[in-house]
Amino acid sequence: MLSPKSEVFLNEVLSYVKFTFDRNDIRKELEGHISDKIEYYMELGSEPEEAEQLSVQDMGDAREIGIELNKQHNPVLGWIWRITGIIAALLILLFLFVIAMSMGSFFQKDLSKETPKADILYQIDIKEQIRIDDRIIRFTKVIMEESGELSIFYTYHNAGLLGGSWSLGYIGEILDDQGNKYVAMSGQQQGGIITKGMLTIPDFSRDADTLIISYDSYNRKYRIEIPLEAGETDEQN
Amino acid sequence: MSRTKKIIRNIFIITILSFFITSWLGLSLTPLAAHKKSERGIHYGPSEVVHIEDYKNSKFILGKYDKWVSCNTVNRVLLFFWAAGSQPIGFENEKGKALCYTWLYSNSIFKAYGIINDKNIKKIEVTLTNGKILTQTEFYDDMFLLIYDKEDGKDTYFDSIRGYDAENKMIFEGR
Repeated sequence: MLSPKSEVFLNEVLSYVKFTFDRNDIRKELEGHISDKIEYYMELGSEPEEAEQLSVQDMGDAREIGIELNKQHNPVLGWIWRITGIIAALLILLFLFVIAMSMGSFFQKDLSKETPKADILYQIDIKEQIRIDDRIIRFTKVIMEESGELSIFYTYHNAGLLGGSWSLGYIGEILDDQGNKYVAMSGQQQGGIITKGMLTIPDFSRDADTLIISYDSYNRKYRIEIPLEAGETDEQN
Repeated sequence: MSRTKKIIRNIFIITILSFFITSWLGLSLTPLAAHKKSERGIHYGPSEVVHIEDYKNSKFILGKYDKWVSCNTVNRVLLFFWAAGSQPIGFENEKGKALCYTWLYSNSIFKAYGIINDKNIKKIEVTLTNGKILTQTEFYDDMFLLIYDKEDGKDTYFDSIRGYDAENKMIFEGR
C-alpha cells in the first residue's frame, strides 16, 4: 500500500492521460515500479517512508511522464480500438446467433418420416436437383399412401452465402403421364440454411406411371419426370 | 499485440461479419441492389427500371420485364441498408386492353400502378373508397403510379379507375 505522497504523484501522472480506460493499467504498472524501487532502497537500509520518497523522486517529473504516456496511449486510437472492439464483439454474438438459428435446420425432423409405415403403399427415393436463379432445389422422395395421397418431399437452399431470399412458394405444376393435372392440398416448410418442404396431393391417379413436376414461371423453366411404382392396375396384371 | 494491430483485427472482423450478416438478413447497400435481390430471390426479372418514387422510408420501383409490369417496394432499414418490401412480381400487360392496372394496400399505404396501352389516355384518375381522388397526368414512359397514405386513420381501398383523353373525355373505366 503506497502512501498519499505516491498517490499524489500517480494522480498527477494520470491526469495527463486522456484515454481514461487505460488509466488503471498505467496506475498498476507505475505502482509496480515504485514498489520495486521501495524494496530496493529498503534493502540498502532506508526506512520505508524514506525509501518511498526516494522512489517517487527516481520516477521523475510527473508532468513529463504524464505527457509521454498520453502520447503512447493515444486517445484517438484508444477510442477507435474500444469502439471497434465493442462492435466486433456484438457482431460475433449476432453471428453466433445467426449460425445457431441456421444450424437448426440440420436437426429438423424428416417430414417423410411422419407418414405411418402402415399407410405407405410405396415410396421412391429421388435425386433430382435443379437450380433457379440462386436457389437449389432437391427433390428427395415421393410417398404414395394407401389412401391415394401422394406426397413430394424436397429441400432447397441458397447457392450464395447464407440466404436472405424469399421462401419458395411454388415448386411447379403437378401432372402425370395420363394427362391429369393436380392441385396440392397442403404443404409445409421448415426454414434454415436448408429448408425442408413437403407437398401433398390428394387422389393421385394409381394408373399413373410417371409423376411430372413442371415449372414455367417468369421465363424460368424446369421439368422433372419421376417414374412411379406400378400402380394397382399394373400390379394386378 | 499493439493497439494499431488490434484495431486492424477488429476492422477485419467487422467487415467479414457484416458481410455475412447482411447477406443472411437480405440487406443491400443501395435500393437498386435490394430491388434486384428481391426480384431474383422470388424468381422474377431482372426488370428494366422505368421510375423510382421516393416515399417516406421506401422506394417504389416501377419496372417492365418481358410481358410483365411491376412496382416493387424496397425499404430503408437499420439507417443505411435497404431490404425487400412487397410485391416484387408484376402482372401481365394485356396489350389489347387500353389500361392494365393493379393496386395494393399494405402497411397503411395504398398504391395503384399500371401501364397505358391506349396512347389517347392522357389522365388517370383513381377513386378510393373514402371518396378521395388521385390523379396523374405526367406518366413514366407509359406507366403510372399513384400512392396514398391514409390520412384519417381509416383503411382505404381501391374503388375505381378512369382514363381520360386530351379533351378530358372518359375513355376507360375499371372497377
